[in-house]
Amino acid sequence: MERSARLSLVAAPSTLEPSGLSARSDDELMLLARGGLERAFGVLIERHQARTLRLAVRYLGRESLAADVTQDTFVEIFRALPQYEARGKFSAYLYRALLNRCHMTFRASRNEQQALLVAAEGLLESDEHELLLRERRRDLHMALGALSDKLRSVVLLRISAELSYEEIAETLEIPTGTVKRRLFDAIAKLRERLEVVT
Amino acid sequence: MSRRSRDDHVRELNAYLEGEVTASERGTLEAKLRDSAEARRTLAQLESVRALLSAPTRLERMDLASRVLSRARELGPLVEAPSPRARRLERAGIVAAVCAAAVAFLLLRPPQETPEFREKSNGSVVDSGRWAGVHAFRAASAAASVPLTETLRADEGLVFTYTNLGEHPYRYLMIFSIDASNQVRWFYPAYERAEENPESIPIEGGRANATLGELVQQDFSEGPLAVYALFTRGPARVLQIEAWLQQLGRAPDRAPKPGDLLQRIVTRVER
Repeated sequence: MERSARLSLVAAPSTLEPSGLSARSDDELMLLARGGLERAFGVLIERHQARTLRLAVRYLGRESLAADVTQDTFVEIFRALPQYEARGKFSAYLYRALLNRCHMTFRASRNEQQALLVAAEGLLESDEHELLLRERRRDLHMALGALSDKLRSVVLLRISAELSYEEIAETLEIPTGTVKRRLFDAIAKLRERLEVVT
Repeated sequence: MSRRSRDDHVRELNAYLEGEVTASERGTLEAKLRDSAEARRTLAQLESVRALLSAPTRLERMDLASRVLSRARELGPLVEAPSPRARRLERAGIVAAVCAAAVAFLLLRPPQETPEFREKSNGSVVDSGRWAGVHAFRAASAAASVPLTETLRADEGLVFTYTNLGEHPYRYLMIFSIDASNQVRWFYPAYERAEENPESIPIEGGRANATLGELVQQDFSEGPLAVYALFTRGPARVLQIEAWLQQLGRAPDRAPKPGDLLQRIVTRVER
């Protein structure tokens, strides 16, 4: 007798209300999305979008690029739903994917970014405060670019994405002590570089 | 101040901002901050860097979910990998048959349809007297599922939720079934490759009605079906449990180890 066991996913009846979805864990939302409930993946994106976008903007220095990279990251995760294993580590999975895309995009667009940053200096600004803020962010972006990938990743995960030391350790697969050391080194270097610029 | 001591000082202030200092260290640093304009300036710079890194962006208000799902749909339907569980199930059946012929005769009596059995089966799994258990639902597709009752159609699959409350919750779960032809079939853990020997799935304590999320359809034989949920303190492996079942030579009525929990849900497969 031929045996077959189709795997699909369905939610238990009580999970489909919007309030029910927002109370679900990341893993549960992934499993529900895998079962065809797209709304569950939408809730997951909304839950994480502020921090992921903030990390991508700081990393890449350009909002349009950051939006594309973050979107592509979530699309990649959605496409990988059939292979997703629910082990309570969605955050690490998400940020690892995002950082990989940021790394690749950063390297690929580095020369272009520097040209854009230089060109921005020639723009006229009527709002002095906005101009100062933009310059400060440009300086921060260049200072971040001068860090190693390891230091940059830790400082952005901790401060822009607001991950705990343990979550960062899980994402980067390094000990918690190393996370702290790299974080402190990164901030010290950023402060030094920004002090020189100003 | 030497460069090294300046670097140490900056690290100290970083740790202070992160809340990674002892009460004594905090006191020392705060005294230094009160006395030193340079220290206050360094702290302000560090706070400024952190503020720049954590500042919200305009993008945070965008409708990212719509963009993602729209793009994902453009890329076409998701492709499910062929279920390895079917192969594994075949192997489980073959292993059972071989062992029965060779050394010990694997005899699992079909589940008894006694009142006691029914009480343990398809009624409310989690009542006031129980604090761990699974709830089974049947469904034919990704549409809404309904609680499993006395019958299961052959074209339906099962999906489960678990509850794991109490002061000392269990840490692992396995779900398997024994049908009228005495075949052992696995729901959890899932298999990736037929040659693997997967481990029980980890579960969270303090959870009620946590969905396991997968609809699993098996090719059950028509007739009585017993679904077992095994809650354990330590991990167990599929072959270990199958060996235990073979040694028992009958349908299990308790967990293999003291302190673990075996729950049985009885239904009937109809074509």
